[in-house]
Amino acid sequence: MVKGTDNAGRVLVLLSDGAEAELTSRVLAAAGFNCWVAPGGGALCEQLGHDPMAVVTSEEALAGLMTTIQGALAKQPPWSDLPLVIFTSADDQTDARLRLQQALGPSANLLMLDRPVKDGALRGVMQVARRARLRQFEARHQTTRLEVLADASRLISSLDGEEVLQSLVQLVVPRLADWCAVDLLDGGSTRLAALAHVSAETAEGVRERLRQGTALDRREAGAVLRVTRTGSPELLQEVTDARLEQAASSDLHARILRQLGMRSAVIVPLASAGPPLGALTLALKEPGSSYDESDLHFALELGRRAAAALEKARLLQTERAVRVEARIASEQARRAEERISGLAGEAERSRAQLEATFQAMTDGVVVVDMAGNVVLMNEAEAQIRGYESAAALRMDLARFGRVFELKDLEGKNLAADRWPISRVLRGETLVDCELSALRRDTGQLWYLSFSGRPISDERGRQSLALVITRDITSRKLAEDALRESERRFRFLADNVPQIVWTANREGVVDYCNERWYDFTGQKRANDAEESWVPLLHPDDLQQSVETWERSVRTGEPYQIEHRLLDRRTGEQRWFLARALPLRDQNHQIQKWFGTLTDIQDQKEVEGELAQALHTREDFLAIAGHELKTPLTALLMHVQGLQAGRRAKISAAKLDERLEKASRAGDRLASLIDQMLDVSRISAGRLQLEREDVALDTLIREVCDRFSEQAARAGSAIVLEIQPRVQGSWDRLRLEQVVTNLVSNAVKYGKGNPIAVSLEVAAGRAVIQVRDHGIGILPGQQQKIFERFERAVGPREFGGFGLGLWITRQIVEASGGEVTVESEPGVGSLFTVRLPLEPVENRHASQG
Amino acid sequence: MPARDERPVLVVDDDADIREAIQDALEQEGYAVELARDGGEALAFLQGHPAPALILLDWNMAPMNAEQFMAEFSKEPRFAQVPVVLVTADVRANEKAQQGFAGVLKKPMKLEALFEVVARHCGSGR
Repeated sequence: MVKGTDNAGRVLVLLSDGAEAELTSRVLAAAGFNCWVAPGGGALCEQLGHDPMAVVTSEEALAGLMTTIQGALAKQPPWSDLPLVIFTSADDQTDARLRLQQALGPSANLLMLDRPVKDGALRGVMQVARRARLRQFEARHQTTRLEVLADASRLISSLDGEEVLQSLVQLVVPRLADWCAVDLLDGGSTRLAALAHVSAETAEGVRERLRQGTALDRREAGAVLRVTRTGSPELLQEVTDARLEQAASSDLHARILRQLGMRSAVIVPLASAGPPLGALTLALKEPGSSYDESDLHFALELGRRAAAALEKARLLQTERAVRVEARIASEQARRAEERISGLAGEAERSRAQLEATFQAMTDGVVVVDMAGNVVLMNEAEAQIRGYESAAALRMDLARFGRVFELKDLEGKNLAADRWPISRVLRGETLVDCELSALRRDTGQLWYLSFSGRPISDERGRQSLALVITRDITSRKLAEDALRESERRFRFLADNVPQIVWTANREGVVDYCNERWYDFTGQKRANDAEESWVPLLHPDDLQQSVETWERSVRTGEPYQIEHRLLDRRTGEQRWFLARALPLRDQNHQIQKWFGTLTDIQDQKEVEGELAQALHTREDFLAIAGHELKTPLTALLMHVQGLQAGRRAKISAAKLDERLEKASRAGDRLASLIDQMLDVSRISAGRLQLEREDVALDTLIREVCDRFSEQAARAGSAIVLEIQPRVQGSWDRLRLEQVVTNLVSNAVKYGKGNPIAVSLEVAAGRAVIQVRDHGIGILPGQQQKIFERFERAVGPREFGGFGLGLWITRQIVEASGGEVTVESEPGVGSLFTVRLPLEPVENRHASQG
Repeated sequence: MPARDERPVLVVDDDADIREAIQDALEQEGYAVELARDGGEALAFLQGHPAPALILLDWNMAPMNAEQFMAEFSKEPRFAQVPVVLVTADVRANEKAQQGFAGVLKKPMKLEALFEVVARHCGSGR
């Protein structure tokens, strides 16, 4: 390498004679040496430290400088052995050499030339000196290079990242280059990674330029990219402008190169085990500088080191990144582990809870595998079967299987293959399968409810059987007790004469005893909703339903009388409906218990009673009223008699009055009798005492009794009596009948004849009493047979009083009938027909 | 005491004995007596005879009772002068007294009561 700036090429000439100096420098210049004529010794000595090529001088010129030069020579670096070419005019060259050697010291490298100095000789000596000197220079460079490499190595081992590149290029400058750059392969092109320049400003300026521009990224034709791609170094010993253009990939690049200055350059690849990572450029910018092969080798070596450094740096980075990642990963792993152990802890807690729950369940749970081995069993499973613990059952499992029996609810023993566990093992699902269980060894008896299902593995095949056992003994016993209690209730309910029913708390009837079905005539049906509502009398319907609904709503006891249709007879019958609610411990209504009692007869009796009372009241009122009439007459007559006696009326008149009084008294008595009869008959106390009666005789007798009265009235009684009419009747009552009819005829006969006849026709005795009196209005013809009602006195009924009513009662009680035909103003015909033999009637009609 | 009225007393009652008893008592006292069996007969008599001095009217009669009789009777202006005394055993007689009767006699009546009422309207007897 040759640097242009230094004196490394310069020959220093110091000669006392100016002409000689002039000549010498001309000769050297012609030989291609760079010469500098020193103006003086001091100036020369100054330049000695700047690595001149050689010194050409003379003995005389060195006078007075020997010590200085000696000192300077002694200070040379080890590689430097500056040739001193000395012109001497001495006779003895050897002598002169000795003198000079002594004066300049052992480090002086002397080359003597006798004057007159021949051009050729001078040239020759100088060439020799130059060769030696160049080798020294080379050695120095080599040392420098080694130093740089050593430094570089040190650098590389201590730095990482791309900073090493920057440090590296800074090592090179200025010792081995004016500027040095590293470009790295980046995608399809290169980028400047490091730059050092003897002028920091220039470097900064270039960097700035690069920051602004992107042109350098596309350096297809550039030398750097070429070197990077091919891996072949390039030595540009002399860079002309044209070559500079070639080396550049773009105008910008060229401008930058010019800015940096490039007279000679070396571009080497950053060679690695694989393809080059980039390129290293060393350049000299001073004119006269150049690189040579050794520089190239050095640069290659540096490039290799740089590549190595880069790789290492990248490796370190990767390593660090990997380490960081590893740290992160291990941190994550640590956290994951923590989480897992946290989860594991939770899982464990859950499991423990599950286990605790499982064991605390009151239902027994057992899981068996397809071979029938118990996989899981909780405590309840064992306890339900009379064992203290699951462990105890497990130990006793074989024996247990022998002493445990299961029966269905009908009491039939189940074979083992019908046991719930067996069925579930076969793939069945069970829900609430109720069985009774017996342990033959302890005699323990229970009711159990089994539920179970198969458990499949992930392929859907059954791998396990799960069976849950619930002890329902107490429930079943309670149910049994309830059923029994219910049975007794029904037994009781069916044995009472009332209709008994129960209803739920909503008021819907859920049970009726047999009496209900007797009443409706329908069969008991389990799901039919029974209700009395459809049978209710329309007039009672609304109130009855409302009353029931109110009771259901409020819980008030239910009571009402209503009529129900008796389908058997088609008649309405009165019923007393009652119900009471049954409440539970919380005072809530559970059920209604009710009855329906047939009160029709009672009502009828009540009705009759009420009627009878009413009647009796009427009767008493009327009796009082009616009796006053004959009584009044009697009293008036008696009073009249008293007055008459005082007035001393005639005895005949007195007799007359007494007679009237007596008759009035009789009438009173008779009326009282009639009323008593009516009362008696009304109360149903008409009892006929039958005997053999000759009706013909009886009639004659009665008519006889009336003959006088009839005569007085002018109504002669004409008889047409069939003889020997015998029958079985109540004599007195029959007499009463005949008397009544004849008496009426006389009273209302208007003095016209009365015909009384008797005959037997169609097995019946027919009595007829005909008058030709005032007759009876058609509207009255039925009323005359009626008893009084509502303070309408007996005399209202056409004046016939109670007699005809009594007559009718007697006749009908005897099995006969009495009728009237009449025309007002013409007369009346009363006809009585009596069966000869008794025909029992239920009651006398109450007409 | 007003001067003795010569006109008869009309006794209306459907019971013969009572008619008779009253007739005997009054005739014994010197009054003239006419008889009717019921409201219908009474009206017939009134239509065909001069007005009586007094009518003794039984309450409960058939076919025409006192109420029905009075309904007809009060329609005739010329009967308005004739006093009508109700004779009845009915306890509720007092209520009926409002219905335009000149008086009420309760059965069984004392002769004195009868005579007192008759005298009031017809003057005293002999």
